[in-house]
Amino acid sequence: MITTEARPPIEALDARSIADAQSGDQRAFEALVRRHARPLYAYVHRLCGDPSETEDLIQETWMRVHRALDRFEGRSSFRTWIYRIATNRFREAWTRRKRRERLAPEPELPRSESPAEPARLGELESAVRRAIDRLPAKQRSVAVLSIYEQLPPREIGVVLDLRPETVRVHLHLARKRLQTDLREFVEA
Amino acid sequence: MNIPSHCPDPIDLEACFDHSLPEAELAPIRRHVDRCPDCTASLESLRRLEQVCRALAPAEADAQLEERILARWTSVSASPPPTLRSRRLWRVAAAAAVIVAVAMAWILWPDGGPAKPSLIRGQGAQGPLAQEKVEPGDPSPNTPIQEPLEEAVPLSPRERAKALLVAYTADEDVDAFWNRFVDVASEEGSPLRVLKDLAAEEGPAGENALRVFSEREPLQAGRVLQRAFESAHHRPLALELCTVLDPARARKLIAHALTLPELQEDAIRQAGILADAHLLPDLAEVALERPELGDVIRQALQSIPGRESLELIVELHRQGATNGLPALFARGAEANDLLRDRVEPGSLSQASLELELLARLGDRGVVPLLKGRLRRGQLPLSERELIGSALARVGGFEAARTLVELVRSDAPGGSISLREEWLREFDADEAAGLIAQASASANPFERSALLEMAARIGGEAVVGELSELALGRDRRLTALAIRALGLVDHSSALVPLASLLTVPREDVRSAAIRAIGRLGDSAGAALLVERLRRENRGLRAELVDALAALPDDAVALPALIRALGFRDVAARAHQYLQERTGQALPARPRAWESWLQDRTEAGSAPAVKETPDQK
Repeated sequence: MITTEARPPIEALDARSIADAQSGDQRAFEALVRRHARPLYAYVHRLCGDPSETEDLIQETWMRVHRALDRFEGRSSFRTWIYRIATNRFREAWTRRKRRERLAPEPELPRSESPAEPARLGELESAVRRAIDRLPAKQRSVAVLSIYEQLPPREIGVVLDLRPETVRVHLHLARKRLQTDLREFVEA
Repeated sequence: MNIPSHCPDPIDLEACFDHSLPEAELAPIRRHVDRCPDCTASLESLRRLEQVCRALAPAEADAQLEERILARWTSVSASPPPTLRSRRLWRVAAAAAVIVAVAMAWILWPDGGPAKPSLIRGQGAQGPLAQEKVEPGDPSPNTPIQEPLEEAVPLSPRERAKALLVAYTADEDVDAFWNRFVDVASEEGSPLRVLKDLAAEEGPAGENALRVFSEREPLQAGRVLQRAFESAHHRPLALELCTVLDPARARKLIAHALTLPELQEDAIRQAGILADAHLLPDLAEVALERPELGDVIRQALQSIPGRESLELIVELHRQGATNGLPALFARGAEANDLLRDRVEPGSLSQASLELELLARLGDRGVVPLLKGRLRRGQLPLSERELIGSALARVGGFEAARTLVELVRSDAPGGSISLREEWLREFDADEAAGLIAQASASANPFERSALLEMAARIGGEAVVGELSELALGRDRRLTALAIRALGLVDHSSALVPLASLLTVPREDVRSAAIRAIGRLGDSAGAALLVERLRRENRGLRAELVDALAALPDDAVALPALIRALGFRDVAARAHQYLQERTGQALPARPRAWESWLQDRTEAGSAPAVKETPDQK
């Protein structure tokens, strides 16, 4: 059995904070927010590409985390768990957006390629942003978790509720698309 | 074909890159990769992709992010998170309320209870609970968005699953769709089985079933796609989706599609995505049959690693079916190796395409080949010009040096002169290299040519280095450097040349006089006239020759008229004046001055006859 002492420090800290928060300690929950808010923000921003949508998704994610924290049993790491919740929020938003686009030709939600973003980014950065935005939702999640969050397929599988083999297939497809879209930079 | 038969599956190769398989499974892959250039290149490409993707810097949230999250949390929930126990109590209470409500509805409903609630709007459900669930236009954000179906007759689960598929769009999140599909299809049996059966049907439901199946279950989609392709239902779609299959199955499907004219173009693109070298013979056949698809084939070939794909690109380029250059540029060193091998055995005319490509690729490996070719025999003018252009495109010191050799080589059709557009391709560093080479060379002809080339490439930038050589101890090199200063197309060369006019060594002053004449600068002409008073008789004759060589009449004629005042060179200057103007005036300065003044006032240039030097 893995003891708290044997875990990496951040997981040990999380385990303590979660236990305290589950017994009603507000400061413990605040500590979790302060430890994970920024990495989570970076992850969600990479997924959706739009700052205001990121903010909404982040808020929604933390509300869900707070509501579900008492059911968290530590079967995965806290980080994996909140990434899973955030990814689910992203997918819901994606589905809502696609549905609205289907029903009304004019997209109502701001697209992930908001005009301000490419202007801020350099040529390479905006090309990468566009390439990621062109990936289907699942490939996008897999690619972001693998490339930027450096999660192994097994852990990505936990976040996305997929088998590791399926994760590898999606990662392969995502890389192929990225290779095609970013060919000029990859081969430069 | 030079394709190792045991190359790992691309997904396994990526696992090697990601270290995502157990070490026992990775070890044989690594051993293979160490020996296989294609797999090494694929790994390098993955590494580059990762590097490129990381250029997307993480977005920085502003400093108040945590405060906003906590403020929202505090505003929504003034109390701490509910404990496990309170949650459980709440759930029990909620469940009890639902049971009571259902029981009440059952008792009060006259027809023995409401129909089973349905996901489909306005269908099936008749009771109050169902009404509440599917009320159209319900503004509540929590109401599930229903599929736009308004069937009057109750549908079977299979029909409802089919209706869901019809409404599915390819860019919809497949997992969210799958959850809804499972809800409906599980009433019929295994949802995957229902999906598989529907995939065999014609129409949009079948198409979307194929899409969902291959997206959701890529590892099991092979047979379904194969069946769809073979039965000709959704054949283009099966082709489009086949890249999710294992490579062998996808290859088989694409190879089949490459034989069907209506699918060839799409199949070529898919071959590019699969990037499987085993498809090259099939692509080559299509390339022969359908030259109009050359560009599409070239794009696909660009993604397929290995020498054979490059060779096919070169062949397509030769046949004029496509412009292979971008693809070859993109393949860099690999393309260079191929082309270099192809150049060596053939004559230049056969290898001109390869030379052209090599030169355009900026591959300096082409220079020794060109040099070897130059030395092997007397080449016709056209081929030497091709070599000159290739060298200029390659650039670099060796190319510049070979260009010097080219200009010096004798051959049928006349000698070749340096072209301005070639010179523009080189820079000052290469010119400096040429000067260093000239210093080290023992061959006076080579030295001369190297310095001339350096002066013409480097211009102002090499004036300092040439001046140093001009002031050095090696007399022969001194003379050549001074001559080269005269070829620098910039007035800055006049400064060192002017100082050389005053040195004691007569050979140096003589060379400087000629160089100033070549510069053709009006300030230089004034210097030469000034030197007429100071130089000895021998050098005065050279001064007059230099004045006569000035290309601009407005500079040369007044200077030559001044020279008429020096008795020992007057006859020489007079002869130059007569030849240049065609005027038979006496050898008196005043006569020429008044002629020149008349001409100038008349507003027309003096009638000038071309001197033999100007021809």
